[in-house]
Amino acid sequence: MSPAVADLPSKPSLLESISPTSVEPVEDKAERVEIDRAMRGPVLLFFGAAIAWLLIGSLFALLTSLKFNLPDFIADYAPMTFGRVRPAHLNSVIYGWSAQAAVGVGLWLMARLCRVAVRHGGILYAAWALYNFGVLLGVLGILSGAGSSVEYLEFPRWASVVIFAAFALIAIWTVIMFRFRKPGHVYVSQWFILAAFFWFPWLYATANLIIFFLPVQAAVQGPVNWWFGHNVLGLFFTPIGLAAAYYLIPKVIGRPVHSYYLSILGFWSLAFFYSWNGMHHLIGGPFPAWMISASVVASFMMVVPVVTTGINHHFTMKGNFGALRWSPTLRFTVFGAVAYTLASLQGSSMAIRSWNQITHFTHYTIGHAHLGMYGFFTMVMFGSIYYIVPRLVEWEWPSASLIRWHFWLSAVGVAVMFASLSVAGLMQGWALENPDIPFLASTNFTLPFLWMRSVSGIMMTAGHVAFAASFALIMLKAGTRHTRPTLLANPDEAAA
Amino acid sequence: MSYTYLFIAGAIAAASVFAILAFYWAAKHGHLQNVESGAKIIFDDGEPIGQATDAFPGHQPGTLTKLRR
Amino acid sequence: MNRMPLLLIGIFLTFLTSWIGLVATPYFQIGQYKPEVDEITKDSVPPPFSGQADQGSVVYASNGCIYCHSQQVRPSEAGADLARGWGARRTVARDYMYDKVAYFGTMRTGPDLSNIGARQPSVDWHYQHLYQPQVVSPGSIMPPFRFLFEKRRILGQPAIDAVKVLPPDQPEPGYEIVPTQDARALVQYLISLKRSSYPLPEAPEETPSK
Repeated sequence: MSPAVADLPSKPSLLESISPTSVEPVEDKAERVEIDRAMRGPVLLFFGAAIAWLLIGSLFALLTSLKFNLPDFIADYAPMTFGRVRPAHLNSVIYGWSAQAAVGVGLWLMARLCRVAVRHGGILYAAWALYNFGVLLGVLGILSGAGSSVEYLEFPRWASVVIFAAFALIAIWTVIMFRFRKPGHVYVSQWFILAAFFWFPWLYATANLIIFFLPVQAAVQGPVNWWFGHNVLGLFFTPIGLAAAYYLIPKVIGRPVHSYYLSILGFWSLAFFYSWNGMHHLIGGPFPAWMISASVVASFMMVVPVVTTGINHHFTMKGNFGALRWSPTLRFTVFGAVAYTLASLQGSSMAIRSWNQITHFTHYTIGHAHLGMYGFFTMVMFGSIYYIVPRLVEWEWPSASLIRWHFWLSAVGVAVMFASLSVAGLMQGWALENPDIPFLASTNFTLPFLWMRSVSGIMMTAGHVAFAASFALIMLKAGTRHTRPTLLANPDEAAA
Repeated sequence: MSYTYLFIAGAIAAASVFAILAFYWAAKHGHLQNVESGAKIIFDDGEPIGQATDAFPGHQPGTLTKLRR
Repeated sequence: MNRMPLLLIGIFLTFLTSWIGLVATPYFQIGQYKPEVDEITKDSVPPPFSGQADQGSVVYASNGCIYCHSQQVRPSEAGADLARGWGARRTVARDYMYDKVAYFGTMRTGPDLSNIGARQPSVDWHYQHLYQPQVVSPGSIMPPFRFLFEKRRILGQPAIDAVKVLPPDQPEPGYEIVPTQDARALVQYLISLKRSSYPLPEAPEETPSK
């Protein structure tokens, strides 16, 4: 590509010759820079806060993990008891890190794909402040003993209200952005983001209202809890992760997604089947059998969107796997996409009753959760952040080796974590199934593997520190400014 | 209890009918035509098909294989 | 060219189906229980919680017992719960009708607690166990909950509910370990957990199959 971009408008658009249906504004490069500048503040703030929560969440995770092997470790200080640091970990990484990374990536992708800058971006700053205030309040609430012990909804209700209000603002602003999009087709990533930003407030409001504000009888809370707990993963984090993957993989290697039709099929089958998941967390529980069966079926039907997506990404990548060597974004994103396929297929298998009977109530499920939320979602978010931030800051990442360290520590860390938790869980599950084995043995079998899990957690935390260091350095514009290549698109413009 | 099952059956039927109608309406209005072109809208002059847009800092992106078109 | 209406309707409808199926329907199906009253004794089945036990459930929640202990007994075809003696029958929705929030749980690092009140009815045992789990149950990895207790100088008579602390955690002579309000409430809650220790029409007692 010629770096001479000044007289671009006169050139015929390459896209126009390929795709006569699209009406492209000609000065798209300048437009992109303009949109990125408008999104810079809110998106960087969401990323920054997300990374801070990732570090905090990692520390809670390490503490939680160590307490399995050292039950007496910091046991006499109530806020640091196992039963509080564990939900503090979960909620800091879910609401603090994952959701804020999702919001940052969602906002940026939406702006870029709609080709509009956000209007009244000030509202997003307010939403950011409110959201983080809510999460902080919630985590402190859990530590001080106000946690609800309803999984994925542990935040005390006053914090949930703040979080809901903040998220509603974000969602509304995203929809407004979408309303004012430039004419032309809508890309599938926008579908995912739009859907996710619509589903999450609905899920969150329903679950909070029914469980805490207008409590129904406790038996109904079980289904509602897991309808929320599974759908917040399936209908919020998964769509955002897929939106990013569907944009980044084609974009980084400069090749349209293998089959757009398949991506649409993937979207609808995900929307329909994933929303019925969740009750398989209650197999054998005190609930009507039809609900559990419906979820088992829906869980298994998840093979459709997952295989569709997997095939699609594979054929998009085909022939270009060498690009994993030189693109950090692609490396993280493709790792995430592969983990998505694995985690989802594993999830379908875990809904089968006979297998669920062994794996339910054990560390196997925890391993599965980390493969999904970390191996897939978090890795895709890392990839997205590596792609987005240089474009916002107009500066290169300061160090390639920091990125490499981050990748390998996170990738190996999550693999070791998944392996050790899976083995631990299976041993625990088989022991629990055999009433001749004393209960304590089922726990003790897991202990060596839980040490291993702690080691993997330390690796991942080290990776996060490398990531945070990269982020801090790029924000400070440390290092030399390379004209290439993460800013490939506009070296000259940036210099002007 | 039978009331519950009736409600489920009714809800499923209503949703299905509505979904089929919506689908029919969309097909009739040409929403389902030319689907594949949507894949290309993320590319443009500045970042055309065939150009890599990411690499480690300080490195050049490697070569990409030619598109099979 | 504009697919938006279809997209938005679809996003709404797909999700609505699950909302109707998994939120609204259970509300009608298992959310309207009234207690069964025993014809002869006029007792309510299941038995309601006492006020103190209710407070105890909040302590249970705030200290995250749920992350290691479930409160649901699966039927014998779905696991070894009954064979392990965790209940006389599976638990059913009605068993939870008096809970403000039910802690069904998803993890069994520790045993199921649906019927812990039937298995361990002794208040003293629970105090001891919460204070020094490894001493009472060797090999356990339960964290101690010493922060739910106070060390006090004995003035006159020792307190009735002072914890019978075993070595090596005994306080120095002249001092005793007494439960706080929270510990008392929590233990009241635990000993009132007898979810499937009584028969219900929809869930007869089972003999576990080995």
